[in-house]
Amino acid sequence: MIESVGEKVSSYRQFPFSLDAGTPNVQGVLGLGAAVDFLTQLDRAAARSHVARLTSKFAQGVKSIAEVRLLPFFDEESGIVSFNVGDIHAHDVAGFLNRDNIAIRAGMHCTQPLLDDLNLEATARVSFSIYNTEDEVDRLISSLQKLVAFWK
Amino acid sequence: MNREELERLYKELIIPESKAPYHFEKKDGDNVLAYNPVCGDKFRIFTEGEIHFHGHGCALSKASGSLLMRQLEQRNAEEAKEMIRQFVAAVKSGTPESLNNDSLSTLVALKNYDGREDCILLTWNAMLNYLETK
Repeated sequence: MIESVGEKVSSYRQFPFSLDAGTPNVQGVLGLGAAVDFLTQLDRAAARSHVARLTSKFAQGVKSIAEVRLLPFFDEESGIVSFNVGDIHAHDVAGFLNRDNIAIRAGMHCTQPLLDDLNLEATARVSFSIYNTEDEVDRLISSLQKLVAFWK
Repeated sequence: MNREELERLYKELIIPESKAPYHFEKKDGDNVLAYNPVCGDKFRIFTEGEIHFHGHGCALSKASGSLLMRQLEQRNAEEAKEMIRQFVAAVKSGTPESLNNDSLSTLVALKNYDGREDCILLTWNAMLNYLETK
C-alpha cells in the first residue's frame, strides 16, 4: 500500500503494510474468524465420530452393489472415500449423481502419478463432513444403485 | 430437453456406442493425441492404414470418438476435413438440423443441453488439427 504518490516519486507504507495491495480482504478475514469460532465450539470427538459413522455406513452400504469398488485405503475419520463403479467413467458417475443433487468429486484428484501406479484412469470421490446426514448416505447409495441399473 | 430425454439419448446412443466403440484398438505407427488436461480424457487416433482410436474418457467423449471413426471411413483427407468442419460448426452453433445424420445430431442436442462441447469435440478437434497441419 502506498503512503503517497507523486509525479515522479512514490513512497510506500512501512513493511509489512507495503505488501498489502488494494483493499484488504475484509470479508475473508471475518469469514475465517467466524469459521474458527464455529469449529472451536464443536465437540471435536463427536464431530469425528459422526464423520466416521457416515463413512462406515457408506462403505458397508455399497457392499450390496457388486459394481462399486472402493479403493482399499481410506481412513474412516477422514470421511473421504474414493471408488469406481464398474466400467462407468468417474465423470459419468459424478454427472449422474449430480442430477440427483448429490455433489461428489471425480477425476485424478491431482494425484496422476498415484493413479498411474494403481492403473486407474480416474476415480469418483465422496467426502463426508459434519453437515452430512445418514439419510444423505442412504440417498447416495440409492442413487448409485439406480446408476448401475441404468447403465446396463 | 429434460432429464428423461437426456437419459433416453444416453440409453439409445451414448452408452452402447461407448461400451463398444467402433475401431477402438491400439495400433502401431503414427498417432494423434486428443487430450483434455482439465478432465484427464485422453485418446490416441492411429492414422496409419485403417483409422482406429484408443484411450479413456467419459462416455460422451468416447462415444463421440467412435462416431468420428465411423464418419472417417470411406473418406479421403479433404472430405474428412470438410465433414469435421461441418460438425464442429454445428456443435458450436448448436444447430443439429444442419447435419444429415441422426447420431451426430444427437451429439449436438446433448451439447445444447449441458454444454459439454469439450467432451464431444475432443477427438474431432485433434483429428482436424492433424489433417490441417500434415
